[in-house]
Amino acid sequence: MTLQRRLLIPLLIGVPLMWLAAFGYSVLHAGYEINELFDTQQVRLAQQVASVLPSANLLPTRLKAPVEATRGAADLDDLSIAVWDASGTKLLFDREGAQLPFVPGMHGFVDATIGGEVWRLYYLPSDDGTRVVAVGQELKERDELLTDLLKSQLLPWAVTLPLLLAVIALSVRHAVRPVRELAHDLESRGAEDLRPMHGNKLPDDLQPMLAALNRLFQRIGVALENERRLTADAAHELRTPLAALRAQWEAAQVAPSDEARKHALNQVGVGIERLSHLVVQLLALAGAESTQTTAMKQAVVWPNVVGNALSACLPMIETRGSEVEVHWPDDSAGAAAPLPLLGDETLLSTLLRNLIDNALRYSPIGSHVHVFFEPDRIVVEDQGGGVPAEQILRLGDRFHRAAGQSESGSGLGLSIVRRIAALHGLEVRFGNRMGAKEAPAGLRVEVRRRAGLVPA
Amino acid sequence: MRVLIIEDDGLLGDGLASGLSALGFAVDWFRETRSGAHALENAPYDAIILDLGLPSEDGMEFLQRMRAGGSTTPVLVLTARDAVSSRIAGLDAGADDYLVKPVALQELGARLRAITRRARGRPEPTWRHGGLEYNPASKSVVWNGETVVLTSRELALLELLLANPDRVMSKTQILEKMYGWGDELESNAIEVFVYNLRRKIAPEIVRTVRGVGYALGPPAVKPSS
Repeated sequence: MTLQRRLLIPLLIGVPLMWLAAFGYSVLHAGYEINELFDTQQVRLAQQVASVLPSANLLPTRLKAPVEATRGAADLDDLSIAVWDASGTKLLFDREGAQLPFVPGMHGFVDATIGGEVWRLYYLPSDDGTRVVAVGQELKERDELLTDLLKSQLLPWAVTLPLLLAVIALSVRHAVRPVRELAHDLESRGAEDLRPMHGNKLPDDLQPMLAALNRLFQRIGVALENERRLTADAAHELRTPLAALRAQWEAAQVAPSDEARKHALNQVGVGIERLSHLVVQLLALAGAESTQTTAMKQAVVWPNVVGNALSACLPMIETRGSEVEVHWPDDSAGAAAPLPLLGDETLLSTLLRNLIDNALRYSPIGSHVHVFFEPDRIVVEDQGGGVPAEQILRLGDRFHRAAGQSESGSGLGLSIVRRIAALHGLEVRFGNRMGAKEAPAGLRVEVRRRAGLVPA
Repeated sequence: MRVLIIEDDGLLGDGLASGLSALGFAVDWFRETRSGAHALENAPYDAIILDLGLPSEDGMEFLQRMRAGGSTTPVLVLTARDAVSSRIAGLDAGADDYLVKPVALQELGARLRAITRRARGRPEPTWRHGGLEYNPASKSVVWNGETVVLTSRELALLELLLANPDRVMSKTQILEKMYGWGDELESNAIEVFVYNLRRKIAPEIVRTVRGVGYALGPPAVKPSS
């Protein structure tokens, strides 16, 4: 339901209902008030008549009707009066008062039907008991007055209520218009259009929503840009392995000798392996890119992570005759647990596997790779002779491969490491490990909590 | 036709070198521009296949430097950079052709032939010399309407002579055009090829210039007897 409807429906139904309730209350209350007023008048008139009547003999007298002209204006000639003596002989009465019945001993109000109409009667015996005064009024008169009164109240409402409803409807529409315009703006945007929305016309209470929307646009923009770059990079980086595979395959087709054909086919195998590795790494990177930090709340058990990573590296360890040595903090010395962290063990295994794989790949055959788990960091050291200083800064750039490399690689491993580390609030530092004679002996990769982050 | 390949990817370079060799090109392959430039100074290449994303010096810089130095050797850029802007930049920097990886080996060969043809001012695909017709793409040789079967080395020599009709070339020059550095050289190879060409086509097809080397013979038609 639209905001406009939410406002309009209760208002347009509620206002007339409230008005109806108020009117109903007026009807009830006005009836009560009018009755009280006329009752009081009847009592007063009766008292006045009773007090001014001479107690001497009184011949039956018919009172004159009031002048016609004054009648309509006040319309209050409707009080009829009759006076009897104790025996019930009419002494004084007006035109309608003649019909009032004499009820001996009666004192107070009574409703009676006279000539088919309902009357309200008030009987008052005089103090000496020689006279009985009765003041009567047709109830119809009271109802007429009540109706007139209510009509006079109803008329302005009948005129103003539709106006009021129209004003309500218009102002609601007006108030909701910025929201409608915002919706229209959003609706007419292309999927690529992530420019921030301008909300100068929006009311203040919608500004936070607009700001949040713009921040969301920004985040989506960054994610899209990442995705786009990854796709573009991937397309670019797939071209050379594909070209190599194709060239080798075609070289095999046109090879002049069996030996040449064998060589080319062998190279096709190498090409397929390289392409598969690249695709696997690309998928891993895409997976890491799309993972949300919020999804990872599990306390990391590092021995599991190392186990997974080393299992994946076993073939490489065996073919190269190398060793991986894992060093844990010394429990007996009461050292703290290794790098406490909340995170995703699968992703962290990928991180560690890439680091160990790199270390093995770029170290000489039969060398040792050391993995140190420390309370505040993880360090992987190899014996690969290090990386020239000017290249160190570019390590971890997507698809960057250091110059003069004979080892096959996708150029993605360290990007994946960086991305997974960033997801866990970790940072990766590369540095050369100096050996004897001040020459770099190998690369040292350090994974530690990003500065300024509170430990999980 | 001798071709210089500068490509840093091992698998691709190896594939191109062996594939193009099998198609009859003499190929030298280098992984970066420094050694490539060195090779270019020391051997007479007919065309260069140049990768752009190279580790030490970018292929574009090499191309600009090479053209600024006055080299007119046809250059075919073979790269993963597929943006239109990259193609324009490459062609404007002096490339004769621009191909995006991956590419079919046969197409690469055809394009190499096309750019060398254009460089020699011979845009037609079939070369004629008297009663001799030679198609460098199909490597077919027709002498007076009859097909002649030649080995790849004999073809290379014939193509070299036809490509330089007014030049006398020394044996060394011919060897340099026909062989890459890694290729094995037979002794008196050139003499054998010249002998075979004369035998299979016509004695006057190759002219011997004593003390210098060989040249293409005058246009001749076999007398119709």
